[in-house]
Amino acid sequence: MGVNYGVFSENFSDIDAKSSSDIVTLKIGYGDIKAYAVEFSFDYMQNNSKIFSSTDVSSDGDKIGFNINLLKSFDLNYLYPFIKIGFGAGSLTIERALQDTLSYGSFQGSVGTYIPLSESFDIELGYELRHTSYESINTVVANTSYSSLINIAYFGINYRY
Amino acid sequence: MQYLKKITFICLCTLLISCGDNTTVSPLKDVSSISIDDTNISIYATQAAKTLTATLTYNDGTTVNASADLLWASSASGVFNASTASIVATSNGGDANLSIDYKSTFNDFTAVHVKKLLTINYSDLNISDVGTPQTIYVSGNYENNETNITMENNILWSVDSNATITDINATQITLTVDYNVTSIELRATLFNATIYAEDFNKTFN
Repeated sequence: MGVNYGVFSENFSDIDAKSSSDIVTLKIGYGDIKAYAVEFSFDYMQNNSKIFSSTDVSSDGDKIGFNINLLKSFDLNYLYPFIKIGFGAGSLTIERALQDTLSYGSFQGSVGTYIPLSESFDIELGYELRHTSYESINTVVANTSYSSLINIAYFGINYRY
Repeated sequence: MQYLKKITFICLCTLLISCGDNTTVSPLKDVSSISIDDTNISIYATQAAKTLTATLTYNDGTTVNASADLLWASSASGVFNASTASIVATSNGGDANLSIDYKSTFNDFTAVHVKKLLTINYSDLNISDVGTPQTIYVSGNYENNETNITMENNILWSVDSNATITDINATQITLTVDYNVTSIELRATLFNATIYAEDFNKTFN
């Protein structure tokens, strides 16, 4: 189990919109630091951008999501580099005439490394690329879906038992 | 250790790149209102379905035709019926409201008046001309002295057993007199209720 802190930069492919802020991840998993593991995590992504909301609100709501990742790590004695792939889903609050929440789904891949501090603790450094597809925006005459690419750089600390 | 340095360098670079801009004005349009384009609509009792349009206005002031995406309803189906972007009379005269709605969030309404058919104009028929198809031109006289209105809908035409109707459209009826009789009665039944009868013996000799 562990916690990550990172920053993210989100760029939308179909509209001129960007978002960047902080992300905190709580995670729990099962596996071997030197081989394979499965990881379940909750994301909290702060939102400083207003992309979907149409009212006078200063920004869209923060995002809360749940992810499942499979990871493979490699034993280099003093380092355990890893690759992760997974998927997730979440939602954020928005303020629009016809919608007040927006769900999203994502696929993500990560690379990074574990740096052991002791038998139980290690530091995690990583980079994640996440493709996010948002629920359709309803404008009565059309339902339009938007998607984005999110770059995440993060570090974290893990406790293993 | 070299590997650790590389990873740290990549993460720091990504972190710096990640500190980008935030969009503060949504690039997406949102719905502001919907409205029926016509107000105080009138239809004739014998009119074919009247096509209407509804306009959606976005928060940036642009508009789009949303007729097909809204729920259209009549406040009194006994006066007129509403379906998507059209209305048709179901009574000979009356008033009710037409409303549009989208998920109970946006709506609009307007009044609809169904004009009353008073009488029907017929051209002449030669009832002595047995066996020859003849055309009778018909039109409606409505309230407020409106005349020569076509009879497109809601009228059921029939004739007595001495003649046969072979064709009907909004302005004319093709009829053949079958027997040499002194009278032919043509009937127009409106909404299966009101009957307008015409005895051609009285109007043509």
